[in-house]
Amino acid sequence: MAPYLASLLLFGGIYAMLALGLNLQWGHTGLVNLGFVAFFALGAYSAALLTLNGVPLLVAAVIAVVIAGLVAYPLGRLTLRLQDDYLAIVTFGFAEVVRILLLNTRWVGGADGLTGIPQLFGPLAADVRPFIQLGAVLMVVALVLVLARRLTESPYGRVLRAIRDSAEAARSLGKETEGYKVVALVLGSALAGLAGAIYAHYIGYVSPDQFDPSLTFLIFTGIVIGGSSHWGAAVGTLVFIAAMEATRFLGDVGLPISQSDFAQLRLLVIGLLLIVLMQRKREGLWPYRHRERVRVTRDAAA
Amino acid sequence: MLRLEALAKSFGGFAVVKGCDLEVREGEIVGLIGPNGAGKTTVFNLITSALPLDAGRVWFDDRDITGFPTHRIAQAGLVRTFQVPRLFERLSVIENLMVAGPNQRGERFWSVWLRPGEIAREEKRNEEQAWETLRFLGMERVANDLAATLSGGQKKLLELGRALMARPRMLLLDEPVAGVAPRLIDEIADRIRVLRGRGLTFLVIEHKMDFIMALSDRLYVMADGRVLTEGRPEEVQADQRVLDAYLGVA
Ligand SMILES: Nc1ncnc2c1ncn2[C@@H]1O[C@H](COP(=O)(O)OP(=O)(O)O)[C@@H](O)[C@H]1O
Ligand SMILES: [Mg+2]
Repeated sequence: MAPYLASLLLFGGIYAMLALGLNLQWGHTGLVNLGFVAFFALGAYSAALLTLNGVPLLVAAVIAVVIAGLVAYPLGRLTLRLQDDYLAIVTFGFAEVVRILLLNTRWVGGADGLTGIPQLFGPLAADVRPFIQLGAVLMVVALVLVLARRLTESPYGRVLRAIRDSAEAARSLGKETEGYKVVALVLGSALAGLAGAIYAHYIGYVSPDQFDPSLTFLIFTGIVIGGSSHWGAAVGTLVFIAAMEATRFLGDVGLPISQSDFAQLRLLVIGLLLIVLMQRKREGLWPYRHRERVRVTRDAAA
Repeated sequence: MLRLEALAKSFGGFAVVKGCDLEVREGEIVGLIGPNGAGKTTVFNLITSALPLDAGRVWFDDRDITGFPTHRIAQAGLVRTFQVPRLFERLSVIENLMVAGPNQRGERFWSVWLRPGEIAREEKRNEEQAWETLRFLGMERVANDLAATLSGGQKKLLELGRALMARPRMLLLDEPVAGVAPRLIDEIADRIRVLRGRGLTFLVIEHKMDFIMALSDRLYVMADGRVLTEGRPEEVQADQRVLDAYLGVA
């Protein structure tokens, strides 16, 4: 039981990291990256390939993060100068290309993927390993959270949110918006890469079907539910993915409707719940809150 | 201070600005009026590179800024507002102001990590400046409200304040009192005069005739993409062509 719980929490940490990455892009900067899952996949495959070829795990993870971020860079440079929709279209297409390439490239294992990826803390005994892994991953998540907050609480983060609300107004006030957008895109994608590297080294194998495009939309929905505060985005994503997983097998327990009816009913219910939520709490359950500022007047001080 | 030479712009073959010449001298308040669709807002868009221009030159401070990127024009000290306010709706009012502060260290990526102390001090000064601006606008009470929740008139005011926070030397105001409550209109005129007294230069688009006539030192009248005439308010008001232009559209 305990190892199972540890494993659940660890996956929770990975999804939380993905949520933080997409939230930086979308929740704070307004960038619609419909191919987010591809950066997760790139991180996982890069880390897997590197370690399978003898690169030490930590070095491989760092390189995987850099690769995911670097790949995002040209996509941003190409599209972010244009209308906002271009990024959405290009990233969506990019994710498809990545998926098809992974499926059809022999040296990355094709549809079978890659197996035998070295485990995080592999040398440790199997009975303590899950807990050490969990501790390490949660520490990384905590570190990412601290860094993300440092960035978004700074004047830099304020510019990102200004760009989200009106890039044109931000430009008219002297902000070089394109550069900010590219940085947000690269950082968020690098985070997805980090999540991917951890994922690969935790479950030990990667294959294209683990990186289904629907994951991107699960995370978007999670952020919509949770709101664009870091906690909101992470918790919303975790709760939503958990709910999806939990209800996936409900159809098997002998409900008096067919499997496909059940699947559709489930989506319908989720859709309705989302609509109700958006009516009541448009900004999600835990929206981003700006610090209240109170004037310290000179007269009051005197 | 600002000089436009033969600005031209067409949309899909339809000429909207057909050679606009205009000059604003330092310390002036110049009005830009004309019937709806005359091309006034488009001229602002051309000056600030919000739209690429087809032909013409823009001079600011005897520097050719034609086609400069929008943010560089603002950094040079020429800042605009929008006819329909474009606030940062999900930021608080005071954050809207603070984000506009020019040249902030804390807005550079590496400084966020390497110079926290300096940024904190800078933020303090920035916030002080923002409170000052709020007081100037009489908006201290809504400082922590989301900009989205403001009334139409307050949004116009906040846009003005935000532009001021960028410490411009010249402001391009696009209908600053459209939709603003009458008692606020005089106040805005008053604020603009105060600012001019502090050395700011203004080019103001406005439809409210009594407002713009009382405020402007000089006016340009645009109709159908061209400058029809230019002069002091009383000259322009007496000009038969101006009356015709307005009546022709009405
Ligand atoms: N981006 C655009 N695309 C196409 N037509 C435009 C665009 N912007 C303005 N126009 C047209 O140009 C004309 C002048 O518009 P505008 O400059 O907003 O006039 P004004 O501000 O004087 O009322 C109008 O007919 C308007 O429909
Ligand atoms: Mg207009």
